[in-house]
Amino acid sequence: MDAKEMTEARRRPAASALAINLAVINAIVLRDIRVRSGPYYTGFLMILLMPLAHLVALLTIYHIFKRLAPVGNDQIVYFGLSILPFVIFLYLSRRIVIALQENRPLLFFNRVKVFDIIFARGVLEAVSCVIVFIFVIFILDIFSDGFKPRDWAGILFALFAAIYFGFSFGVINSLIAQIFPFWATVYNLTMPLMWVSSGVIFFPSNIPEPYNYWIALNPLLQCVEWIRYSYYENYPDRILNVSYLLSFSTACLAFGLIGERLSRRIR
Amino acid sequence: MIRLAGVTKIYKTENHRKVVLDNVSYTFDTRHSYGIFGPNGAGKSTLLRLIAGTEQPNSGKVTRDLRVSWPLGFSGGFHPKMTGRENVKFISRIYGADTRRVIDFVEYFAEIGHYLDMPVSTYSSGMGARLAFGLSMAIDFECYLVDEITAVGDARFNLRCKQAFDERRGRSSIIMVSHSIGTIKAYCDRGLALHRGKLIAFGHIDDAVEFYRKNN
Repeated sequence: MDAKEMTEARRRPAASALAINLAVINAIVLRDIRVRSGPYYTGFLMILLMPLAHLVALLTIYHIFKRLAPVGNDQIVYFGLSILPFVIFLYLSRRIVIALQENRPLLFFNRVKVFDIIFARGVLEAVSCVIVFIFVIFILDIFSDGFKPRDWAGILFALFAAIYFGFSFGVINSLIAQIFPFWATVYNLTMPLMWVSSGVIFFPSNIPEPYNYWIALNPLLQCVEWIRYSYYENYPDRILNVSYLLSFSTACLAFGLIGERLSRRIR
Repeated sequence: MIRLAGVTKIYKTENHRKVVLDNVSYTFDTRHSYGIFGPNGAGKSTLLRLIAGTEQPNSGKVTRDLRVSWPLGFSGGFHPKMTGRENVKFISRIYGADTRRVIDFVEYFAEIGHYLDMPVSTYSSGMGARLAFGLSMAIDFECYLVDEITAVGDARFNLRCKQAFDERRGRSSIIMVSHSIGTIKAYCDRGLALHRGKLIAFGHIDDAVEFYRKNN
């Protein structure tokens, strides 16, 4: 066999833009799995275990210090449900932020665009978030008096909203960090602030007006409130604003993607 | 056709501003192969990246109506921890090529034997270049962008590259940058020179060579 025989006799017709996008995203997802899994696929287990271990460690601390749940009579379910959106947000957004740093050499190939790298990472992380969620539900069911939510659909919507917010927040921060590298440090510094103001360590409805409306501006608190509201009967929903959460996430995503297009010319 | 319309590219460092391309307009007729001359730092590789679309101009527009390769020349873009085979599979997926056919071709062309199943980090620079060239030859581009072909391989490998390009003549064209006049004359029939941010076209490749010699 020689080179001529191996070259396709007929030129393939040009692919559509969508087909190219999907092929590129599919290729990057497979590559990401391969690279991050390591030679024995232990890396992929670590990707799942890190947020789970984080959540279990925080739950254990609350259990040791006997923190009482402000709602319901099950401490494990209350704190487990509250910490879940934070852990999903934290790991998802952080991994989106580093996706571009890790995969920048891929931009050497002219079919790969920044959007493809971010979106591929988003797909992979969203899948691992859903797996983490399933594990957490099992853990909560085993170590509590039973996991009996008022509204399963609401819990799932709140989970997807946390994933969407984590992804969008990761996108805008990742693109700002491309233009101003110090931003990665700023992003890391905001994480403790997000945790403190997320409504896990305090009960938002106990905060007096108007301060409760100020803290409600934190979209992560909205995720936490939404998931609790969907679990408990008669949970106070005064500061829960789902449309604010979704609009904030969409704005982050839109600004990130528009900003990326504009920044291509100034780099 | 590949069209550059009013393309300006500027690199800014802390206290320096380097104009690499200054309002350049030019149309590459891809029935021909082009060689681009220019001294070190003139912006030849930047020009190739702009043509490939891996970099955007500060102003102006680059349009292309054909499948253009990435700028070939070294093994950039390979993941060092992945094997050669895995890298090849990934890149052929990106370009929508038949993965099995591409691997067969790369095995034949690159001649790196069992190293194809070793991580790319264990490769010598020559092996990386063989893999990169084999891979790009396996994917059917209408225009290949080549950056310093002679810098990456031995004489036997360069001969192989030349044969592979010759087989594609009429089907694909080349835009090449090189310091080697002999290489450009062997591959290209039209010459351009990049001089102080301007792209100067010449009727005959020998005129471009003469201009390059005078100004270098």
